[in-house]
Amino acid sequence: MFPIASVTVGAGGSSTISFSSIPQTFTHLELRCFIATNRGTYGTDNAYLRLGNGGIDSGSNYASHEVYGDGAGVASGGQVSTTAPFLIKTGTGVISSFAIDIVTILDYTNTNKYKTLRNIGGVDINGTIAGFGGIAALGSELWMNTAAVTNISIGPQSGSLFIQGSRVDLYGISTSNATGA
Amino acid sequence: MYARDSTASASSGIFGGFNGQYGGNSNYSFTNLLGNGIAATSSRATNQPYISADGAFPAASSTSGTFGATTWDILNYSNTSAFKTYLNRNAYDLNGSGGTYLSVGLWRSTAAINSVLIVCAATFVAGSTFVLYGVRTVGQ
Repeated sequence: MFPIASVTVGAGGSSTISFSSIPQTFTHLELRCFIATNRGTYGTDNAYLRLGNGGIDSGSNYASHEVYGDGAGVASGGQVSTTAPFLIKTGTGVISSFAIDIVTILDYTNTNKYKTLRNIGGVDINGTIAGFGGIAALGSELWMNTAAVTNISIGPQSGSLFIQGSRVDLYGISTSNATGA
Repeated sequence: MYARDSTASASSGIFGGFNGQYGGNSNYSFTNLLGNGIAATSSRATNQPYISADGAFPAASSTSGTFGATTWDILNYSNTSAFKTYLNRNAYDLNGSGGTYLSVGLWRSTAAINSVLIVCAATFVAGSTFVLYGVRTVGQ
C-alpha cells in the first residue's frame, strides 16, 4: 500500500476534503479517515464522498447502502440516485473524539465498470448526547460512471465544516510485486 | 491476530489496552455490531477498564484447529491532540456457530500510543499469531 496524498484540516476548519490528479498507476485506492464535523449538540454526523474524472461529479449518479449498530439496535438504510452518498461516519469533536473510516475503491482506473466503494467505520463518545453515543457501520456506495477516478471530494451532511485535526490519507494499492507501506 | 484461547468454553473474548492502561481506570468505551447467524445485535459499553471484544475467538470446546481472525485499526496513533479511536473487526466460524463482529472503540487519552496489550480469558494456544504493522503517510 503506497501513500499518495494526505489532507489535514487546520485552524478554522474546511468545508471539503479533496484529492485531485490521482495517479492512475495503481489498481485500487484506500482512504483512511480520522474525521469530525462541527455539527452541534450531537455525537455523530455523516459525510458524502463524491468521485470524478477531471473534476467532481455532483449529479444524481450515486447510490449507497449501510448496516449499522448504535448500541440500542441494528438498522439499515440506503440511497438511490443521489447527489450526496453518505458513506462516511464522522464524529463531531465532542470530548475530542473523531470517527475513523477505512474506505476501499477497487479497480478505480477501469473504464468498463461502474465504481463500487466499501466503508468500515464509526465513532464512540462514551456517554450520550441527544441520545446518541456511538455507531459502528458497514457501508457501500456505487458511482454510476465508467470513467477512471482522478478526483475525490468529501463533505459534511449536517455540519458545515470538518474541524481542525481531521485528516484523510489516500493510498494506492498495487498488484505488482513491489513492496510498499 | 489469528488466535485461539485455551479456556473451557466454545468461544471467548479478547481484551486489551494501550500504554499499560489495563484495569485500574475507566478510559475505554465501545459500540458493537454483531451477527451470529441467528440475529444481528448492537450494544455499547462506557467507562470500561479495558478493551473488550466478547465472543471473538474459538476456545477449548470448539472444533480443534479453528482459530479466530481479528484486526485492530488504530488511526492517528501518535496524535497528542485527540483521543484515540480504533476499529476492532473479528470473525470466527465453527460450522454451526460463530460470529462476525465490528466494534468502534474510544480510548480517552491524548497520549501517543507506545504499547499495545492483548489478553485472553486463559492462554493463547500454540499457533496463535499476532503481527503489528505500521502504515506510513506521505513524507514518512
